[in-house]
Amino acid sequence: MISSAFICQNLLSDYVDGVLPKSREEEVKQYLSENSRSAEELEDLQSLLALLGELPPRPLGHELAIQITETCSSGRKSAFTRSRVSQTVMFLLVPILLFGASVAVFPKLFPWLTQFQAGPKAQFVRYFPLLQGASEIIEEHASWIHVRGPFMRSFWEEGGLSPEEFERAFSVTLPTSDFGDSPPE
Amino acid sequence: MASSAKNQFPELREFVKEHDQRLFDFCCYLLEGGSVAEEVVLGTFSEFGTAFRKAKSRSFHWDPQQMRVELYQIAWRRVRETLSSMQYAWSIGRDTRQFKSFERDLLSEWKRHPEAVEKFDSLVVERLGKVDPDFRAPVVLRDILKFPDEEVAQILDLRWGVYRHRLHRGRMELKDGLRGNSLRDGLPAGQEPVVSVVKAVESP
Repeated sequence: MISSAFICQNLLSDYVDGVLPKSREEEVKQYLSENSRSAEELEDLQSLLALLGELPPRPLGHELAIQITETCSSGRKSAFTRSRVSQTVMFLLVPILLFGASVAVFPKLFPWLTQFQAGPKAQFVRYFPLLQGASEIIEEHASWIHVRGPFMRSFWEEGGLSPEEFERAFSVTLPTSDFGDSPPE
Repeated sequence: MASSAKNQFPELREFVKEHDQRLFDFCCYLLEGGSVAEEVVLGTFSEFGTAFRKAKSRSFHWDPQQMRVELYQIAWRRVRETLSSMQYAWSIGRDTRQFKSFERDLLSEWKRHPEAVEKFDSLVVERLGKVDPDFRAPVVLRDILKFPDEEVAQILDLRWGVYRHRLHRGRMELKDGLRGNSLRDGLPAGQEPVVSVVKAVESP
């Protein structure tokens, strides 16, 4: 036997959907006929269900419908979903940050990293190139000059041009003068 | 490759065509946002397609009911994951003023103007969003999308009693939400509201 409106209200959904046992349904029906407030609750519930049943569907775009069909048929997972991107970023970022922090805190654990650092060694190379391999290049050049030097005689070292050679190369015939005197021999 | 897959499973295509709108509705009602719902729908169908092909390759036969349950189970799992991440984001600081201005008694008003259901649509959906997702999901599946009780219980992975309880609580919460502040202020139900939805929409 239903003893309160609270119990009746809790049974209203089952009553409306018709899933109560026959005897219980009769009890609810009897209680509703006697109690106007519970009857109002039932009326509200029925109108709520009617309202929900008449809600129009959400607008589904044509492109989205095509995309859904293609995604389902091909079985491809969309690569750039928000969750996938954030997962990838976290997956990459966390180890990088951990490594960076450990390098900063314990630099002695990573001695091989110092060769990538542009520290005093780089400056030393800049100011003392002969100590860092430039001397070999200079020595090579010097030996080349030392071997070939004697055979390389320059124009002026050979004495230049003799006056005869000069005249032969640059012979100029001067014009005779009006007085008939010839140029001196 | 995609076209060959389409030709390979015509029943899958038919099923998708039949259920894309319903699943989109389900996600929209539960996630209160179009773009998030779209992402969840796409992910759900992708996962479902993979599961379907795997079942076919192992020569399992899925009847339509089983396919429905499988699809909406995936969707419900994804919706819960998304909701949990959204709630985490919202806890930083969310403007909830729009959810608190429930001065209109929509239920009584709709009883007087049942023909103007499209004018109540967005307001009803907004108040439906106030109901807890665990109680909202049975209401959406059973009362809006018209799934049978047994399937809803399977989709939500609930025992019969728990399912019926959640359905009832969801309906009651929604009913109280639609009644608005008239319940809180002790106004008699069915009183003409100060601002009518139908008139407010018609007047401009």
